[in-house]
Amino acid sequence: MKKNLLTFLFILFFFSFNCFAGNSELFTYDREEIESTFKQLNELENYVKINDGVTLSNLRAANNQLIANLLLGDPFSTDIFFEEPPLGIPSFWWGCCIGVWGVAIVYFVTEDRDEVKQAFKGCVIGTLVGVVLYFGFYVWILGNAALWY
Amino acid sequence: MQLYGINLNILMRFNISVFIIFFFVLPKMIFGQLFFRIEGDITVKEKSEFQSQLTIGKFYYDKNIGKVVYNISFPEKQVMVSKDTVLYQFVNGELKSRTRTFNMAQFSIFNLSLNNQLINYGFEESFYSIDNVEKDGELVITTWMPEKNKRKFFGKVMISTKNKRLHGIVFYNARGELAGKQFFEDYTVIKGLPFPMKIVKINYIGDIKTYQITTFENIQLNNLNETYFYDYPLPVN
Repeated sequence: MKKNLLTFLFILFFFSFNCFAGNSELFTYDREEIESTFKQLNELENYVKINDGVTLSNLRAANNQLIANLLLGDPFSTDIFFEEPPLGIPSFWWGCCIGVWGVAIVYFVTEDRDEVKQAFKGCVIGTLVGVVLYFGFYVWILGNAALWY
Repeated sequence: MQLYGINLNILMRFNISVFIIFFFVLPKMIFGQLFFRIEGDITVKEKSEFQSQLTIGKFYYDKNIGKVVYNISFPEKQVMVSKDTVLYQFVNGELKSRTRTFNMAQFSIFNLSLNNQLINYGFEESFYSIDNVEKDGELVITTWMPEKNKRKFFGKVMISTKNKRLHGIVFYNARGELAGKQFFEDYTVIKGLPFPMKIVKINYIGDIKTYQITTFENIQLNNLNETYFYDYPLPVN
């Protein structure tokens, strides 16, 4: 009986310990690894902050050793941003070809005022071209009909 | 219950309402209106297997205007402005590029801090909802799950707080793989507003890790002397 009770208490303790083993391990990182990874960049940062106004072009022109082993990239490279309009078709043509529906598609997909403006321009121009072609077509038919008579 | 002809039940109910308004509702409303501008020095260092990046400059954000403005001095002098879903790049005051991007302002640390939403990183206002809350040591860890119809593209997010301040975020992709971690450190309190002066970000793409450290200095709130950068002029078309 005593043995059973001890076993029960042991199991209870073991399971309760496991139940409370949480996720705090996820919220850690190797600080030493970060320090060593950023050693060169930290040196460059200190240099730039001391020499106010210095740019990367200046450092390259002066062949500065601080950037010799660093492959410095452009932090504002447009590669990381989405430049594509819906389905890769320019917003202007969405408006021009399918009118108001095209403007609506651009509006809901991009949520970008500039893109919607382009689509709206396309819509107006597309409509005007459509009207001109429509009347032009009738003028051409009536003109030809007059010639036959 | 009556005392000198006054109904104490009504009085008590009234007192509780006044207590709730004064101690819970009003401070939140006043806090929301109290801070509307933030600026400071920013340094972003990024390191991956392939390249390094260093960006130094000043940032400006006014939540009523909604533009995140970076006046950058390194690597090259330029001004970057994020408004809605467009990122503008100006060199010598002239527009050099205009790129479509995600809405940077809404989930920027500046907007979240000014709106007192940093503690849950604004997830309360998103399509995520709380799935689980646990306490582990000093950390309170909240697991957020996206709406069911968005789980094909978005994974769970775990947010930890320490001493009632945002400590870290762990992001997973839709397949349940670890996608990134962010840590918010070195908090300083400016006019009663806690702000992390250091953010460490680790992204995981397969076995490749990229690191980013953002540090802030000289944080100022509600600087009314500066007007130009907070509302940096953007092209009309």
